This record gives sequence, C-alpha cells and structure tokens, in this order.
Amino acid sequence: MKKTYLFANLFWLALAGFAAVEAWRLKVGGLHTPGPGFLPFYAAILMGGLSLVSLAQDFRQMSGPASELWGGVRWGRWAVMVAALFIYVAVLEWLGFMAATFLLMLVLFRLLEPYRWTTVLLFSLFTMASAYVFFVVLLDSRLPIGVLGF
Amino acid sequence: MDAMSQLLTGFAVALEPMNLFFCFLGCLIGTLVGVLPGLGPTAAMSLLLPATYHITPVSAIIMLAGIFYGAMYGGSTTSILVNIPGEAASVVTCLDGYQMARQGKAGRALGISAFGSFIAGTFGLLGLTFMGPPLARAALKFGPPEYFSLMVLGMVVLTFLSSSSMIKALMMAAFGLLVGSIGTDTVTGTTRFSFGITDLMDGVGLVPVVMGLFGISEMLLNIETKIDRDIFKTPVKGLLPTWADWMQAKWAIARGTVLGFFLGILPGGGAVLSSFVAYAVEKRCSKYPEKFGTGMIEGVAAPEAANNSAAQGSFIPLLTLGIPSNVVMAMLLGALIIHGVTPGPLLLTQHPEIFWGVTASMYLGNVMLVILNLPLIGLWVQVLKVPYPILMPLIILFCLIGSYTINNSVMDVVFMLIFGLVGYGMKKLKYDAPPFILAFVLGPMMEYSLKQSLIYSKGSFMIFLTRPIAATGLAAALILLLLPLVPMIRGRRPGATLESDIG
Repeated sequence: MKKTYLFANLFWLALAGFAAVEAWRLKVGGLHTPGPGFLPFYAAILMGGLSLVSLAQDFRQMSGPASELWGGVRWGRWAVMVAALFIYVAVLEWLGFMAATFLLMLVLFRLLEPYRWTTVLLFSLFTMASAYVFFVVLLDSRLPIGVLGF
Repeated sequence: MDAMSQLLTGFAVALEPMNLFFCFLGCLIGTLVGVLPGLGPTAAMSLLLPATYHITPVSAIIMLAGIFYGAMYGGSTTSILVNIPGEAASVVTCLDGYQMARQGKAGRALGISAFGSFIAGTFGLLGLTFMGPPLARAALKFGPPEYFSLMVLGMVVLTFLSSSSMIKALMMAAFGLLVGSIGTDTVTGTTRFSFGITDLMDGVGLVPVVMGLFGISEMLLNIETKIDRDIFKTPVKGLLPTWADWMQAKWAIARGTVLGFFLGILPGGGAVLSSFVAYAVEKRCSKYPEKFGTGMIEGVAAPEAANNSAAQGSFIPLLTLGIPSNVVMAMLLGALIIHGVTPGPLLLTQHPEIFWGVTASMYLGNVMLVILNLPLIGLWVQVLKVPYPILMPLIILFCLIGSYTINNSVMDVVFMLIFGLVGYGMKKLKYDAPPFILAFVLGPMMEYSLKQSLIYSKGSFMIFLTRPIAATGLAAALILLLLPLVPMIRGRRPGATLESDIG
C-alpha cells in the first residue's frame, strides 16, 4: 500500500513537472502582461510542491501499519470490463450503435452475474432496443450507423 | 417589482404544463438516483444534460435542479431501509435511521425525514426568494478582483472541508486548474495543452469529466467486489410521525434547517457538509448524546433537514453571483452556459424567467417530493430490490451514450473512460474529486478575473488588498490554509472534531 502512495505521488510530481515545462513554453509572462502559460505554470508549481510534501509525509510514515488497498479485488472482472469499454469505443463508429451496444451488454451482463445465456441474450436485446427508442426515437439523438447499416 | 410579485410571475412560468412536467420528471429521477446507491445527483445530471438540449433553458434547469433536491429526499430512504447511503448527503442518516428501522420504526423515520426535508426545503426557498435579489444587486458592484477572491475562497473552503488530507485536496484543485486550462486561452487566443488533437482545442468537456469521475469510476469500484444489499424486512407502516415524534424532533429540524441554509450558501459548503455538521451539533445539544446511533429520531431529522435546506441555499451564490458553491452547482453552471445563459448578478434582469421560474418550480417540487416519497414509498422499496448486476450495465450505457451525444464525438467517450480510470485511482488512494471538479469549472473564470485584475492594476497585486471584499475573501482563504497548522502542533486535524462528534 505504501508503495502505491509513493508511486501516486511520483506520478503527480512528474505530471506537474511536465505541465510546468509546457506552460513555460507557452510563455508565462509577468504581472503586467500575464501570458497564456501564467495560471497553468503556477498551478503546476503548486501541484509539484504539494506532491513533494505528500511524498515526504509518505516516507515519514513508512513504519506505520500497512492496510489492504487492493485486497479482495477481482482483477479479472475489472480488466475485462475496462477492456470491453475501450473496445466498444474503438468499434462504435465502425460497427454502429446497435450492434456494438448489443455486444457490450452481452459481455457486461454475463460478467456481472452468471445468468444463463438465453437470459443474457434477452437482457442485452431489450437494453439495446430500449436505449435506441429512448435516445434515437424520443430524444432525436444521432448515434452511429455502422457497416451493417443499423 | 418586489420579490413576492416576481415570485408570482415565476409561478406562472413554473406552472406551464411543460415546465410542470419537467419539474416532476426531475424530482422523480432525483428520488430514483437518491434511492439507488452508487449514482449521485452529479452523475445523474451529467447523464441527462445532453437530453436537455432539445428543451428550453428554463425547463432544462428546472429538471436538473429537481434531480439535485430530489436526490436529497431519496437518499434517506436507502439509508433508513438498507443502511447504505443513497448519496453522500445521507451518510449520517444511516446511523439512527437504520436503527429505527430495526426497531420497527422505519415508517416514522421515513416520515420525519420527508416532513423535515419539506420544512427545511421550504425555508431554504424563502431564503432564496428574499435574499437572492438584494445579493444580486450588491454583486453588480463586484469587479474582477472580488470575483477572483470569492472563487479562491470557494476552492480553499472545499479543500479545507475535504474528507481526506488537505494537501491531497489542494493537489486535486491544482490538477483541476491544469485540466481546466486545456484548450484556447480566452485572453490571448493561444491553444494550450492540445498536443495537436483537434478535440482538445475547445478543452475537455465538463460532462465527460463528471461522468468519468463520478459514474464510471463508481462502476469500476463496484465490479471489483461483490455487493450485498439486504433490505430490512420490516413492513413500512405508520408514515405520519406522532405528536411525540414532532415534539422530540422539532428543535432538531429547526437547527438543521438554519445551519444547513447558511452552510449551503458558504462557498465550498453544501448538502454533504451540512448534514454532518447538523448531526454533530444535535448530538452536542442533546441531553442524551450517548443514545445517538441507537435510533434517535433527532439523528434522522437534523441531517435530513440540513441537507435539504443546504440544497436550496446553494442556489443563492450560483444564481446571484454566478459562483458555484459545490460540485452539483458547478454542474448546473455548466448546464446554464451550454444553454446560452450566464448566471450572475445580471441573470435577474436579463433572464428573470429563469431565476423566478426555477425558484417557483422548487416550491412545487418540494410538494411533489413529499407525495413521491411517502405514499409511494412501496415503489422505491421495489426499486431497491432490482439486482445490481442489471442496473450496472444500464448506468454504464447511459454514461457512454450521454458522453457521445454531447458533440457526437467518440473522443468525448474516450475522455470519459480516461477520467473514469483516473477517478477510480483517486477513490482508491483517497484523493477527493470535488476540489478537482470545482477548480476545473472555476479555473477559466478565475484565470480571466485574475488577468483582468492584473491588467487593470498595471501588474500590482495591491488591487486585491485595497478592495475590502477582495481582501476579506483572500484573508479568509489564507486563514483557512494556515488553520491546519494549529491542530498539527496539537497533534490532530480540525476535521477530527467533527468526526469524533459523529462517531
């Protein structure tokens, strides 16, 4: 757990450093003529400074009791869900809203509870159709039509 | 025209069939969101924001506001019956509400919660009706230095009240300022942090960020463990509090109402903070503090009154100054801007139908919510029985479609998923999201005010110290920033006082 906090602070420190360099490139300017990098630069400096303080606090508390941060996490389910969401976004415009949504719902319903496949199929079809009616028919939203033509 | 006649004009707007429908819809969705754990009013508002593009601004704000104060009512149902807060402002209601349910007094707990909420909500609305216009008139004299200092104060208060470390909260505020500065600089026209990505030239949208941080991250947290929700099996009956209940809870409701209202107006305050403070105050005022947590009706009445009063009170800084006092108000600010309405002192003169229409709709909404939450309690108990594995894919799908339909852009969905992962990490490592969101929303306005002030004063920071309101705001912010150092010397954080009072 302690390592996780250390890595988190190092991540914020690196992000602050990167933002400060980018803001400097944009031109920080002075008090008379603040440039486009003015606020981002000082925000990055503040963030970097605070992450250093936090890092120092973490080092000081290294001897404290470690508590479980990731204990009991079902990483398999978590990873499948994240992957399914990113794949959905990747194929949404190519496959179309209806087909992509149907497939995503199949994965999510099956992932969350071991329902029978017929139940999962019905849930997915119903969800996809309801979302289509609500967003496209009632709210007139434009959702992607893919290679399948729907 | 005086406030009363303006309010009557507002009722004419609110009672138009479409506005009445959207008020009801907002209250219904708000109650639903409040009842269902895992999806708060902020995420629900961001989900439904794209759906409001087809309706008038006044209808849109009436509905979105209804979701917010509706969630305050609904949240108590889950706290009392399931011992899981439906949303953050109902966390402390669990302590005594669930104990009352276990003792067969679920109906009385729900009843006092709904009536207390109604009384407090109405008081908050009276405050908005009569304090809003004079405050807006006073705010007309505010210049960029005053706005800058008030926004700084709002952010500092929110970080000070953060549930985790103040250093982490300040880090998140700085991160919010950085993300808020992505896109085109309004003063110089320079594109910042876009890295050649066209979709970043207009900045990152509020809706994908909020949906990611509050919606997707919650789903990612929920999937990693199995969720068990046991609804208390006692039949819900006797929803009308007895005379003895009223006598026991009357001062709790009164104190919760007044406290909640002023904490709602406070920059950085809001419903969550007010419910905690009201519970702590009630425990201190009680002759039997040791009985709190065992099913005391005051322990339900005070926080529920406070969070509803605060919900109405928090509209005052948004509608009169254009400064959101908390994350939900930041979301409403975004909604107003998307609909082409700039909240602030001129809202009352330029769009009186929005200010008064929304205010009047909230009076109506409060009545609707009592009806929705008491006679229809059986319906919400049934909703609680819907299995989470069925609800979760629906919430995710709403997030995906909601973020896509803002600009019909897949990049917005990608941003939402990225912020979902960031939000997951933030929740795991105890970094608070509200300071990030408030800074993200206020950042561009704050930067504009800061630059205007500096250009106007020819580069002198003294402009912030020579103007009384600006100087007071910055001084208060500085005191709050330095305050944690005092208890650090004594070996405890100031927040510990409140926490120990509740526990």
